[in-house]
Amino acid sequence: MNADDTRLVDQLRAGDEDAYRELVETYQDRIITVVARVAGGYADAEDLAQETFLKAFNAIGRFAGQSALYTWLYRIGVNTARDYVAHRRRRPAISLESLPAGAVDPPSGDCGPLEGLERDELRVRVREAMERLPEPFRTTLILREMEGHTYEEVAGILEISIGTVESRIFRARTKLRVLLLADLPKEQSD
Amino acid sequence: MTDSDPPFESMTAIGPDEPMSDELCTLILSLQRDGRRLDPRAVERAEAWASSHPACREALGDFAALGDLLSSEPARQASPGFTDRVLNRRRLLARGGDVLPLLRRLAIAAALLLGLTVAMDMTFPTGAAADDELARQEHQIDTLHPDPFAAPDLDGALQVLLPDVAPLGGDSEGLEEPGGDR
Repeated sequence: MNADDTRLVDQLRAGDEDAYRELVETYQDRIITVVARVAGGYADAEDLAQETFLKAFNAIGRFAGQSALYTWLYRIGVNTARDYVAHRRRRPAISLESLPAGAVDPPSGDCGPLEGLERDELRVRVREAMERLPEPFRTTLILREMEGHTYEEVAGILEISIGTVESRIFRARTKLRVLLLADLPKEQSD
Repeated sequence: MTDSDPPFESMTAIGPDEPMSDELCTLILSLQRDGRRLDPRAVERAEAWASSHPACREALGDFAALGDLLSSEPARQASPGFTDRVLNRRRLLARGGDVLPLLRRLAIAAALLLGLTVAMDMTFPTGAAADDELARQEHQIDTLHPDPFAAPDLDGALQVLLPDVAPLGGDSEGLEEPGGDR
């Protein structure tokens, strides 16, 4: 924990109103973004972000300082969004083992087949496919690819080992690619 | 790798004898692209494999394309007033936090008082005395209407209720209103 974090945590523990404001203003955009991504289209991201900050205020006395303040705050936000999704998810994620093996056979060439799609079209497809990823893989990939965290930071936020992060990211990328490629032959034949 | 290099931090401490495949090749090279430290011999073997296996290169190309796309997803911004809403909510909850313990203490005090009252009543019963008094009053009322069809025996009842007062009838002096002979 750096000096700024230490000062802010001390002020928060003392109930300093300015410190509460500083914490929210510093992290609000990042927390709203990450809870929106983890919760997908299931929730009002600002409600979840507000819940995140209130939980953080209540738990600041238990913050041990073993991780950076923002890692701790991210963890609360991600868990809040994951809990919400777990209770509200309407469309079940598909199993990693349920995809047809043939769907992953891409056409030959160094350029991946997904690279040939229009960017906007690919973006829409990727968003849909992300929603279908099983939760632990989706969240891990979001933290890595969308939030730009290092593997170590992802491990800290999710409280899992680096090896698990590596495994989840690789499987999530593979799964996402498989989901996208599975629709390609049908679309191309239309 | 020199002695000063940090130890391999990856779970994929892939040995030089690990059988290579498209999947393993993709895993190794994708981890390398993400800046993970890997056994250089494993990386060398994966690169050699990729040079002759287009499926591995295609997967890596798609991974890169997906990574670029995901990282370019727009971030959200808090709406105006978000901070104030959070802080107002915090203050509201804090006040609730002050009031609730007080209410809890009051509820406990009320329960203790009720329990004490019940215990006192059980230890020193007053029910019998109350019953006797009630019975006496009922009997007095019965003297007013011993028979539902008989005229009320007001004198008898008053004698019971007010034994020191002279009965009505003969000597009504002092009870008549002034000018009662109108």
